[in-house]
Amino acid sequence: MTERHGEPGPTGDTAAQSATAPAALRFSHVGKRFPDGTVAVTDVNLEVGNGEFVSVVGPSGCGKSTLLRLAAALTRVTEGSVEVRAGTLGYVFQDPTLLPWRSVRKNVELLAELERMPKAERRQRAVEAIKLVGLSGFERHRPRALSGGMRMRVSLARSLVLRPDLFLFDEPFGAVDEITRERLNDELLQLFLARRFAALFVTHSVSEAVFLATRVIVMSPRPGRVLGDFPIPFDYPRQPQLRFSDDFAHVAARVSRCLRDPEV
Amino acid sequence: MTASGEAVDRVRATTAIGTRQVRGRGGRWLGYWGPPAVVFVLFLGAWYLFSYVVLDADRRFLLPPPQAVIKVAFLDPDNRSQLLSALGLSTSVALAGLVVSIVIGMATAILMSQARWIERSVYPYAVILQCIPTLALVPLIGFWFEFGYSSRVIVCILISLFPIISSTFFGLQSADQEQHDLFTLRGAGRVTRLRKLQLPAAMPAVFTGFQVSATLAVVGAIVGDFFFKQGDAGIGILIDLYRARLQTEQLFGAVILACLLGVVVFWFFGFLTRRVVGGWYAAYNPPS
Repeated sequence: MTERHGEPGPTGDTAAQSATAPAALRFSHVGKRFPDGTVAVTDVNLEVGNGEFVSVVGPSGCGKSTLLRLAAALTRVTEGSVEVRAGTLGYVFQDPTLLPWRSVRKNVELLAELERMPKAERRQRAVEAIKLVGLSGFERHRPRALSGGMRMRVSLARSLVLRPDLFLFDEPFGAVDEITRERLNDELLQLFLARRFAALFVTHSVSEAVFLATRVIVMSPRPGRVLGDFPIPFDYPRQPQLRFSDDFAHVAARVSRCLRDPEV
Repeated sequence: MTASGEAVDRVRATTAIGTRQVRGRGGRWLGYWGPPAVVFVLFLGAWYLFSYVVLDADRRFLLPPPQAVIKVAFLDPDNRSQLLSALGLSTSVALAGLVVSIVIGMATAILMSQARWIERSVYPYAVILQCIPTLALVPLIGFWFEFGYSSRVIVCILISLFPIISSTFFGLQSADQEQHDLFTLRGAGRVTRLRKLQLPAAMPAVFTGFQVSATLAVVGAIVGDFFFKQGDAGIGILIDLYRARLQTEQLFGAVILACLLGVVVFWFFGFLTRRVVGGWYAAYNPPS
C-alpha cells in the first residue's frame, strides 16, 4: 500500500543515517478508532530516525494530529503499536497554548518547572532558549503583548528548555501569515541543525513540508493511511532561496500530485 | 533568528498609544464621569420634583427632599452616630459572611471540579440552596441559632454562597484542552494542575463571583437584621424602626448608607479584580 519513492539518496546525510540508526519513533500497523466509531487512522507504518525530520501532509481530518497524540501517549492506539525511543519528548501545539498570566520567561520555564528542574538551572535554560528564538528583551512581557509569530516562538522555546530528543509539531505555524511562517521555518531549521532532534512535523502546507523535512509522508483522507513517502534530496543548511528553485518546485509538485490523485 | 523587526513595531505602537493618552486626558475624564453625573443630576431633579411639586406640604414626609434627609439623618449628631454604628455592625456582618462564603464556596467548587460524581452530588443542592426563599429561612435561623451576630452571618452566607460556587466552578473549567495536554505530557498531578493551571485560569471568573457575592452579602446583612428585630441594631433594624415611626428622613438616610456600602464593596472588588487579573485578562484591557 505504501509506495517508496526511491531510496534515501546520497544527498541528505541525515536521511542516510536514518537507514541504520535505531528509530526514535516507530508506528507499526497503527489504527485508532474513537469511542464514537470514527476511525481516524488505519494501518499506519512510519518511522522517524534519530536526527531525522519527517513532515506529514494530508487533507484536513485525515488523522495527522491523532498520530502525534498517539506518539505522545495522550491517547491510546486501538490497533498496532507505537514505540518511542526518545528520552524527552517535545510537543508544539497548533495554538501557542501559553498561560496568559505568566510572563514570557515564566511561560518558557513552565515545562521545566513541571519536571521539577532546580530553579537556577531552569532559569538559565529559559534565558538561553529565549535567546535562541530571538526574543531576548521580551522576558517580562505577557503573551497578550506579543504578535502571533512571537507567541509561537515562546511556545517553541518552552519545549526547547527540556532539550527534547523527539519533537512533535502539530501545524505550529498554521495560524501565522506567510512571511512570518517562512521566517519561522528558516529559524526552525537552524534549531534543528543546532540541536539535531528527531522531528515529526504535521502541516497542511506542501511547500513547508518539503522545505523542512528529510522525508515527507503523504496521508489519505479519513481513515488516514500512508500513501506516499518522499525522501527530500536537499542538503542542510537550506537557504531560503531554495523555495524558488526548479528542483524544489519539482519535488513539491510530486508531493502535491500524490496528495491530490492518490490513485496515480 | 531575530524578532527585532517586530520589536521595533511594538515599541512604536506603544509610543503612539502613549501620546494619544496624554493628549486626550481631559476629554477622557469627561467621557468617563460625564454620563453617570448627568444621570445623578436627573435623579436629584426628579426627587425635588416629587418632594416639592407632586407632594403638598402635608404629605411631603412621604418623600422628604434631599437636603432634609442630609440635615436630619447625617448632620444631627445623635441620629448620625446611631446610623454610623449600625452601618459598622452591618458592614462587619457582611464581611464576615462574605469571607466564610468565599472559603466554603471555593472549597466546594474545587472539590466539584475534581470528580464528576462530586459535582453531580453537590451541585443540585447548591442550586436548591439558592432557590429557597430567604424570607422563610430567616426566622428559622433565628430560632435555631438565636438572634445574635452569628445568625446574621449565616443569613449572609446563605445569600452570597451560590455565586462563589458557580463562578469558581465555571472558572476552573476555563483552561483549554491543549493547556491540559501540556500538563498531562509532563505527568503533572491533580494538585499541580490545580495550582498552576486551573486556579490561575479561574481567577477572572472567581473575582467576578466575589463582586456579585459581596453585594449580596450586604443585602443579606440587612435582610437578616430586618427580620430578627432583636439584638444590636444594624441598618436593617434601623430601617424597620424608622419605618414604624414614620421618620422618613432617617429612613432615607439608612437606605442611602446601605446603597453606599454596596457600591463601595462592589467597587473595591472591581479594583481588586483589575489588580489581580488586569495584567493578562483581555476583558479588562480593551484594545485602544
